[in-house]
Amino acid sequence: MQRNGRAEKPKTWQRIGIEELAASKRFGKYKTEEQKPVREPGLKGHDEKKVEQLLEIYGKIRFISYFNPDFMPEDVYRLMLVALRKIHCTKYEVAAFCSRLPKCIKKGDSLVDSLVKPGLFISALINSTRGNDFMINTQEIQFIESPWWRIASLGYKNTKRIKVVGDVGNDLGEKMLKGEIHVLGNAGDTIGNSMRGGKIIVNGNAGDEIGNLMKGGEIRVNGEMGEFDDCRISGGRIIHKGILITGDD
Amino acid sequence: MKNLIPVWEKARGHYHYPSLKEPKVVDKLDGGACYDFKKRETLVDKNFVDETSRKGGITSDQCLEGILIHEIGHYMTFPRTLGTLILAAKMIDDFFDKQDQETRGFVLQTYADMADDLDSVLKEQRTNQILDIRKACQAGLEGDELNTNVRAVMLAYLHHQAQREYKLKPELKENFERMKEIDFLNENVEAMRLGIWTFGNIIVDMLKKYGGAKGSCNGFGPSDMELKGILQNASPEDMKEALREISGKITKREFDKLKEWLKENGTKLPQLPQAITIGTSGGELPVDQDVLDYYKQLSMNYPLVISKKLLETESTIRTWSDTEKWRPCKDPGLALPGSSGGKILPGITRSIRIEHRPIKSTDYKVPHLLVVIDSSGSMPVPDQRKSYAVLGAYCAARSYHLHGSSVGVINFSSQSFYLPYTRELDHSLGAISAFQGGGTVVDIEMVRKMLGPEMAELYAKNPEYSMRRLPREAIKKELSIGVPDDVFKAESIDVLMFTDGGIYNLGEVLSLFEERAELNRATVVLTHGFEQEIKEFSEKINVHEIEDEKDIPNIIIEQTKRNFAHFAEARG
Repeated sequence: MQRNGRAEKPKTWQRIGIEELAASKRFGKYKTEEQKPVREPGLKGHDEKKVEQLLEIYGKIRFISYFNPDFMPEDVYRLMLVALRKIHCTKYEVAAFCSRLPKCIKKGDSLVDSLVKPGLFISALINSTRGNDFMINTQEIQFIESPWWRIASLGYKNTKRIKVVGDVGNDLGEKMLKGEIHVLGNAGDTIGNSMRGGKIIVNGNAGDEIGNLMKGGEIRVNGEMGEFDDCRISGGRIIHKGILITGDD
Repeated sequence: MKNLIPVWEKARGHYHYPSLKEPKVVDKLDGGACYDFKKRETLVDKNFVDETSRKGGITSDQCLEGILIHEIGHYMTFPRTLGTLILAAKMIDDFFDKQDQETRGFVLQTYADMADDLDSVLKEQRTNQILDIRKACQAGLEGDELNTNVRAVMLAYLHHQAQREYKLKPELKENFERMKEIDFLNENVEAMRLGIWTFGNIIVDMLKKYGGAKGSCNGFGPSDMELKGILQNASPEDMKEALREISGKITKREFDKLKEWLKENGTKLPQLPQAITIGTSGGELPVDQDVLDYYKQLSMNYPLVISKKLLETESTIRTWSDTEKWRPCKDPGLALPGSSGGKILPGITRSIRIEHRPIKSTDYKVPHLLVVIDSSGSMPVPDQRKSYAVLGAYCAARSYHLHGSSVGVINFSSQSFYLPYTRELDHSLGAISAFQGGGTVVDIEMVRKMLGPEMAELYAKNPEYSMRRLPREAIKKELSIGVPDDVFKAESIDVLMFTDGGIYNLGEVLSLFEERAELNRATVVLTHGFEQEIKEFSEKINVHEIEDEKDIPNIIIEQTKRNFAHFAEARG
């Protein structure tokens, strides 16, 4: 029984009838799956490179001091608009930028670098971006030395509809022109400073001097509010807990 | 429906056979079908299947398969967990508080349907079934302008993702373009928040434009996401699990607000244990159970594996000490028949007396832990913001405690207080999360005492920690009792220091740790933007930085890597 000089295997080595084993029947219904493609969702406006670009531009901008008499938010805001002119972002990239912003705030950064710079930059970013609805999470943006200080000058010269998740600091909606800012948390002092139009809604509490130098628009505060004096208000309406406290009906 | 079970098995097969109850056929169900999260079962309305298949021009088996794939998707893809459902519902409540309850429910339902269906259309095995059933449902919506248009935009989105053609009315194209920006399957909270906000705005805008009833004919299953019922029926254990999941995703303040919102919606939240006060060197310290529970739940996400250390241990050996009279109840193998003329005579024959003698040996054991935590003003306040230092310390304390070790705490700020080594985990955790909010000076003497035999002095001031099991009268009589000996051995203690820097006497602290490096494994964990330079000490002290809470397990991983490196070097 030799073929090519090698012994042939006896037939008895073959295992016969294994598919009839009772145990294998238990898994009869589980069959090998047909391989079919799995796609990635095709989404619009999620460009990681743009977010990196925004962070780079943000990092390059430095303030000297908030208390410097030459400090003019208007100038810085214009500078930011110029820097952002060629970047066309979507609200997703704006939101992604905001979520990474807390990591850019370092220990030792000044108050203005920690709070005013993010506020003005986000305002410039939103105003220079196409689209109308934006959402910002401010919960982690804070001054490390005093964590109760919150992002300031948010919604500077705003023209869009912004939803803010978390608290904001002073000068919310400063020089706001139109649109709406809805804050789900608390806000600081001088909300709607020099505001000309649009609507600001604060679900939580607000600080002092609401509507300082206000010329138009509407501010609604649903929580408590601080000291208020309407002598510096020349237009617009302020509503506290559903009651009109200044302006026309 | 005779083919219900074979079709069910086929649908389950697309998800690799999840263990779900077989579906129930009901006579009438608002919406046609649903996955009931309360009872964890799938319900299908027979009439809905017949009508949809007739109007949509598909067989009843195709219709049933599509429905079942969709319903299983709610269990497998979105919301999948109670935590995700709660989070989505809370976001919708926050963003659309001006809208009525029905609209908010509609947004939640349609968002969940979209997330579920998107997952299916991206997988070719399920694509056709979902598109077929969605088209068939669309055919049944004639006369309902709002639902027809909303579902048309959703269907166009699904076709776009499935890379198939779909004709959409020109007036709806703007909404379709807006919807194309939404990533329904991204589990990141910020992406989900923005997705819900955008999606909700599309729905609200369409609602303003077309009006009409929202809940009717919205595909299948308005009762899938019947939130109030789900929340009210959820057991405290389910809720605990959900809260644990959520706590890892959102900030502390948002988490607190979410708990309030759950209470308003009639949810049974898990009961907190009774408030405790702990005795520290600084006096009685009341523990905030809410904070303790929050970080405790959160710390369960990051278990740490502790590398053991060769330590002296006490064990016993069996020895032949003496002889005694052999009695019938004793082991005959120990009898010495030679002592009674070769015969075994009870009471006369002597036998070996075995004794257990204590001996000193060495064994690999988990040491005790000393947590040195910074609670100065620059650290985040634990009850307001998620503190990675507190979280890391909780993870470490829990892991050491699980291995039978005692945990001691030094909480330092301008003034320091200590908690002697204890097995009462809640006491240790309470001392860790206590916040002082002053300057940053480490009490070196206190650390030195906690690491050496001097710690006996500390126990003398807090006898209750060493005499916990003794009656109070005995303590008053000033009876002395030994605390576990190994707690007093310096080498049996690991030190973990959590700080954000700015320590006035950092050099002194590091010198102490370096000096005692042979005895105590010291790890300094830097959190929240640490800036002081300590790399020069890192040869003998492990230094680890936490930028994100997900870095916490690396505390031990790096230590283990280092141990392996030494081991490999030793082996050559």
